[in-house]
Amino acid sequence: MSEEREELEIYFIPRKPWRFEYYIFIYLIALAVMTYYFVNEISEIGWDPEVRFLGLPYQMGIALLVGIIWTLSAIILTPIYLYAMSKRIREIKRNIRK
Amino acid sequence: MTMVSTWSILVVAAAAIFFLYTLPAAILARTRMKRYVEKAFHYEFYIASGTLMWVTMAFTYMAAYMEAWEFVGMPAVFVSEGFEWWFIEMLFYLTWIPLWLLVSLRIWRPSKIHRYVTPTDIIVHRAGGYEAPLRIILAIIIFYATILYIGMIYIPTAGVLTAVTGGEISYHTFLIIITIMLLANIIIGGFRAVAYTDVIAGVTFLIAFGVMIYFVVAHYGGFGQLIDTAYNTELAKKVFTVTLPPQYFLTMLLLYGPSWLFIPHLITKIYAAKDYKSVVLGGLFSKIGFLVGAFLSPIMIASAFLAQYGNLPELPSITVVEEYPARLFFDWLGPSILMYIIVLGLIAISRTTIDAMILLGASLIDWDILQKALKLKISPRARGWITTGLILLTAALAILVALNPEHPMVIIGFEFTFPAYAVIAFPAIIALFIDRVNKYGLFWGYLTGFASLILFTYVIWPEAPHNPFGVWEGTLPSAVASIVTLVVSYLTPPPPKEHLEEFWGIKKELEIIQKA
Repeated sequence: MSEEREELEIYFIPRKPWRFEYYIFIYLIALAVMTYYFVNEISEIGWDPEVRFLGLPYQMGIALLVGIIWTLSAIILTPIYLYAMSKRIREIKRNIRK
Repeated sequence: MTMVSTWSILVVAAAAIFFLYTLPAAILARTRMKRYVEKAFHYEFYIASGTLMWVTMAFTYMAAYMEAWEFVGMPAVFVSEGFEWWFIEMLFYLTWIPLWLLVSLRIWRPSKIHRYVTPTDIIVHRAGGYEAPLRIILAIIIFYATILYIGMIYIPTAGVLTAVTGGEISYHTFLIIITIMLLANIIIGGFRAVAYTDVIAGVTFLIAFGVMIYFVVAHYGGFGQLIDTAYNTELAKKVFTVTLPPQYFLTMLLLYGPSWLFIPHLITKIYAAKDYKSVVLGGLFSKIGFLVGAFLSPIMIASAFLAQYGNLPELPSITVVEEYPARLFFDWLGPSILMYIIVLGLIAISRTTIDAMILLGASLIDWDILQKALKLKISPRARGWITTGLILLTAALAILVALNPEHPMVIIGFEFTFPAYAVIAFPAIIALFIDRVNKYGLFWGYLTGFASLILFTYVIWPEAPHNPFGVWEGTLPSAVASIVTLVVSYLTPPPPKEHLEEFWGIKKELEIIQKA
């Protein structure tokens, strides 16, 4: 990698959050509400093989749901960051060449 | 004299075999190190000069979660203390993932500009004053938590190997063997050797994991059947009864999760990344590591353990609960080639994280206290010896924690280690995003945060969860540290604009923009 590109990469990480990053906090509020609801449910239900969720005993089903949610958030956010960063660097680089 | 079986000797040999086949990675690291070490010894030894490409970063980040705490500790605590202790680990990840890139990229930027060596560097630099006292306070808090962390990971490391020898070779013998193996690797090539070894260890673990998955699924006829069998045992009635209050879960989600955004051994890994892609992709691979090491493995092993022993009047006798996962496979497979592959995988995951943590512990004394706070003049010849001595000291102190563990490792972590890291994390993250935070705020924030941590944990409320509200142990001390940081910062003059510009490298950024 050229030194120029390396420098651009360092200095063009924005120091303040991007606008899309503020939406993450709304997502976190939703997660907190969801956690509160499901934790109360699993506390009340306790061990009961009859109550099921996503085809598994209730507690394990909730754990699976949690796993699915964070896996999806990783799959969605990684390309967004790679796209946002490379777009920013590409634009600056194009302007420098002009 | 008690006779030791051939199998037990082979298990000891597995530690040596693992060390030998990862040795080329350490030697390669040593060779590459020579290019950088003369220019900046500490930056190379502790951070690999910030030159690690995304593939190495991917494995070293995967190693952060494909480790004994998750893979061995979680199924053990699942069975011994209940499903809820593993479930809260799943909850923390819900907040950590979306916030990780937001924070890590803002840590990476100044770390590349100023070539930071320890997590303390970025905090002290951002504070812009009180350097010596701040470095000493921070180094002590991080060192304290790090020693506990290393100690608690030693527990399963030695425990699993004892279990697969059927207790023929003691827990304490394996504690010593594994520590020597780890130290040799670290001393040969520093952080670079640790990162390169993570690649080989990662592959070893994934092979062993494949064997385990195949065996468990083949044994029970599928994942769903395994869980149903486990759930319908006598022991499951106790395991799936929730005892923690909802506010404990909620604070784990909202505070424990974000505190991991500034967990010291991951911070040094961010510093080591060559470019932003390595940070982003390293983060993605850490999540894959978590999926394998912290989600799939514990759910599978804990369920298999319940299915196997859940209806027995007594569980197998053990020294530490972390022996359970290895005991399960040993009872199924006996001394065999498949078991040997699993042993190698267990050794591989046992060493990950401990080595990075030992380096971190040594760097805090070496860099923060000796070099920066006390400003000792050390000759290049003596420098190497001091570094080696500090690595040995860190490893030895951590052994004391692991000698006679009173709790499962996961409980030690949640109750003692991570609250201390949370006290470090929140003021640091706040200072990265709020320009108004100044040196007074950070100094008093850390001082009161650390004092409240010690008071709450050991004096006022010595019983878990160390507060009367039923919230996570780290909640109150990190709230004290954060509130004091903000209040003192807003009551005192703001940091000079020039200081913030120098910290973020704004001048250079503007030069590039003008050029564009």
